[in-house]
Amino acid sequence: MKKTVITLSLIAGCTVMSAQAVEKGTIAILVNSLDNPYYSAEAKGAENKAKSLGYSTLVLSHGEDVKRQGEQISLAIGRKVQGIVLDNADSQASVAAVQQAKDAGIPVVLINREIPVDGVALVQLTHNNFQAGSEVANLFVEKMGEKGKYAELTCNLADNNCVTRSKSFHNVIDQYPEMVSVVRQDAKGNLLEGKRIMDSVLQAHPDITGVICGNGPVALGAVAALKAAGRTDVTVVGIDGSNDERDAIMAGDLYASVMLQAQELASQGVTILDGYIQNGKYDGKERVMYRGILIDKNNAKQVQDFNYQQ
Amino acid sequence: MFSRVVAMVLAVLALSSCRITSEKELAALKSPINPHLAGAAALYHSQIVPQIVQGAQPLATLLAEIAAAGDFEQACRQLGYRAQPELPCHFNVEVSGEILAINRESRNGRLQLQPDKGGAGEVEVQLGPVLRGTALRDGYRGLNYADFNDQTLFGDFAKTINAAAVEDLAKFQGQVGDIIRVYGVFTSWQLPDGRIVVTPVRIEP
Repeated sequence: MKKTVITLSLIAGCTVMSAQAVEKGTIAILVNSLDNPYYSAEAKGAENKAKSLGYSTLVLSHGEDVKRQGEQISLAIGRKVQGIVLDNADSQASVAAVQQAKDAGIPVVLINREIPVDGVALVQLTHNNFQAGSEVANLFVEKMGEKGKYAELTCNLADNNCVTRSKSFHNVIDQYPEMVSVVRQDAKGNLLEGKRIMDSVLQAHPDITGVICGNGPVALGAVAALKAAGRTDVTVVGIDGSNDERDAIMAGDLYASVMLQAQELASQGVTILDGYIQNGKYDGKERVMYRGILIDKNNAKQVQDFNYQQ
Repeated sequence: MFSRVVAMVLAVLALSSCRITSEKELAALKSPINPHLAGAAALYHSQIVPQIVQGAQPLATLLAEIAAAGDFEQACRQLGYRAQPELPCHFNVEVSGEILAINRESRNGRLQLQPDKGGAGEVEVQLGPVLRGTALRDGYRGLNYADFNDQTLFGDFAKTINAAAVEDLAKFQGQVGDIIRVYGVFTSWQLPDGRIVVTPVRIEP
């Protein structure tokens, strides 16, 4: 009897959820690679919020492929979704895709990456990458005693956010004439490439004492190469703030990072989208920035799944 | 014949409307300098410094008022300035006291101040030639990110403002033991409970 009641309750609950979802429709969530902890976290943040508001979700990964992103936008339009949350494949090349959705009457909320045009997306939520890069660069320079040879491994120079981070690194570091850049290479944002490049940097420049990295996976790749080479005298910093970076900081392998509020940003994007779907208007600013939180040994334990627990 | 003359006249007219530009001019035409960025140093002297000096609150009094307010966000609205939610609260302050130490070894040179009124705790004043942070840009109640919509440009704007401040601060020749008065900005996310770092715009003997 008890089992029957529980079963009936579950069925009733599912029916309510399903009816609510059908009533509110679907939100499409399009992000880069779900293998990357950052993109996975933002997809999770958007999906959880959408479901909590009564939407069903369609989560897709475009893998930074503009063509595939275009097909996914067309699919979302064809499925008559209520709105799209998009971390776009390429800032410039994505304008047309966002416009296509807008023309079809589907609002698009951009998260993480902006586009260089106003009035096409409903809102563009991004991280303050310049602030993130500047803060971690300040700590990097301080730890290096304001001098020494260093390498820069960028995350992906086809991504505007990575270009901004690199510029912010140099905005700080270049003010210290005894900080000498010996190599700058694009590690395409992934761990294996970061490790491969770091292996060769160590061969060519064994006297480096610092590595500044454009994102977390690249920094962890550099850490792996340094560990394999038995080097413990090289300061490594990055940006993203994943759980793996947190653990590396706590273990003393990574000196610092900046945690980007991936889940919060994506969740806020869905909230804005829901407000627009319900009321037909959005009165806030189109471009909204989120701050990154500087993480080092003192506060790393407060990081969990791109959320900062006070 | 007539059509040939007309074609020649049109060609001359078309060419006369062209202007040969240098590489430098071409680069400027392709990416014009942001007017706010171009005027940043002048803005620092004409607007930012006067705004900070005139709006400066005595540090000890300010800290007591922030503490008394209980809610930091409310204190920020009443006593400080936050241009955008992702920024800390900015407070314009004045503080006088004795120089306890000066560190010029770091390029982010700083002096340590013993405030002459109780309640202000430990105070550090940035001297440069590298000023950390963007307090001077973000504490200014005029331009904000929406006037740029480009993080790098906005960063360069802060750098130019800091450079203008550093140029002024280079004149400072104070020594340990001197009594000085500092006008500047400090930032905080919460009720300050430790060392206050002031980014100055004016240091008076």
